[in-house]
Amino acid sequence: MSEKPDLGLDLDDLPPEPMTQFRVWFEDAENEGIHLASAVALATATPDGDPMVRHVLLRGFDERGFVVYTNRESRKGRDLAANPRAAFAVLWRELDRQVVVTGRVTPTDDEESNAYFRTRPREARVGAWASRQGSVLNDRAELMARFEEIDRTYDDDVPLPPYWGGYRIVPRTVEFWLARAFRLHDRVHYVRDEDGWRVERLSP
Amino acid sequence: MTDPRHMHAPTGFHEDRPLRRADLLPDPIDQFGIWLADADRAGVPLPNAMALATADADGRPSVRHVLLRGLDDRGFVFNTNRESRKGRELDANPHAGLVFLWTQLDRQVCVDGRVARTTDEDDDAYFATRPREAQLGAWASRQSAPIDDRAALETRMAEATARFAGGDVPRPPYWGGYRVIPRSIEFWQGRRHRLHDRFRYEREDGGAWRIERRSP
Repeated sequence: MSEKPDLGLDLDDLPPEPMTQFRVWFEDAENEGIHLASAVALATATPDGDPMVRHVLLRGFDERGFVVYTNRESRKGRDLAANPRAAFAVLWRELDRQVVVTGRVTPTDDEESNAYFRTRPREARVGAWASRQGSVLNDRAELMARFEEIDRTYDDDVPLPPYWGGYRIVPRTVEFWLARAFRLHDRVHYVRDEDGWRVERLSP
Repeated sequence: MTDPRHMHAPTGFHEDRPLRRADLLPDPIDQFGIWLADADRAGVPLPNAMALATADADGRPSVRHVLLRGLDDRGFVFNTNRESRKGRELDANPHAGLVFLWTQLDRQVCVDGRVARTTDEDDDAYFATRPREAQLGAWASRQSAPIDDRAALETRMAEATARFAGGDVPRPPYWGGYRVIPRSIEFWQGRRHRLHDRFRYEREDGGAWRIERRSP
């Protein structure tokens, strides 16, 4: 645990829906100066239940959910195509805080993916074309040669690769976790049901 | 309602730190040990924190952070309440993924493999090393079960404290360890323009490790 004062997480202080609370914690993490505060551990599973997890950067969130981008032909893209459910956990160590989200996943449409892709630096757009994410490479030179070839092919307008796009995680549960002394952590769990969001406290 | 929030591209990596095939040890657990020690030296808070992914019997994934409690040539050990969601999922579907992130070094390690319970002797030995308050906390919390309020938890803590006053705190029967026995381990070194270096170790049938560079 960090040296922060042991401030509790009280149900009475929390908003009725979790995205508002997520925004507060996310901005606290940014204000704390946490490097890559948007890096989340994204878990997917094959249809027969073999889980896998890796970090991705959260690129946006709103009341619909959380958006990440990737190569759709990567392992996570293939998992999500076959089993469109995901979970992510983000740990802000300096604040003793963690948020865990589970939900269904839908691909973002081309318009949204395109709009995001255009905000990326040109080199990152070229990099998206150069890498067949997850496939075997003989050496780094092979990757760099492909990068340079793509770099020459396009001028400033590097288009969205057809295999590249976003996913929106539509939350079904969102848990806010605050580490406290003696592992008596505070855990507050939002669950979406037919009537909206229900909030409960869980044992740590 | 929340306004849409968009994140900027990250402001870049730290010093450019290539990862080369020649840098890698033949055994990925040895390689992991070096990276974990590097993270510790670099001052990463909780360098042994890892995100643990499990899936229920229907293939629905879940994930949360836990602390790595042990590392040996068999794999990665952590402890938990076996009646928690992850415990129940692992007992029903003994497969897991792990990921460590050390942003100060632009590094990530991903592991996947089968999971086995550690032995009662191992669990007892580890439990005995925990601070007394943490031992009592393990008795006080029915992990993942709904609880009315914080006061209910504190009452249970007070009960556990009274119950074991003046003696050792034994390991609760529902508390123990799991070992993730790696099938693959990937080392990821972030580099500019998203041209990261990735090397994946995969266990071959004979038990030897094959190493391949992967596209970033």
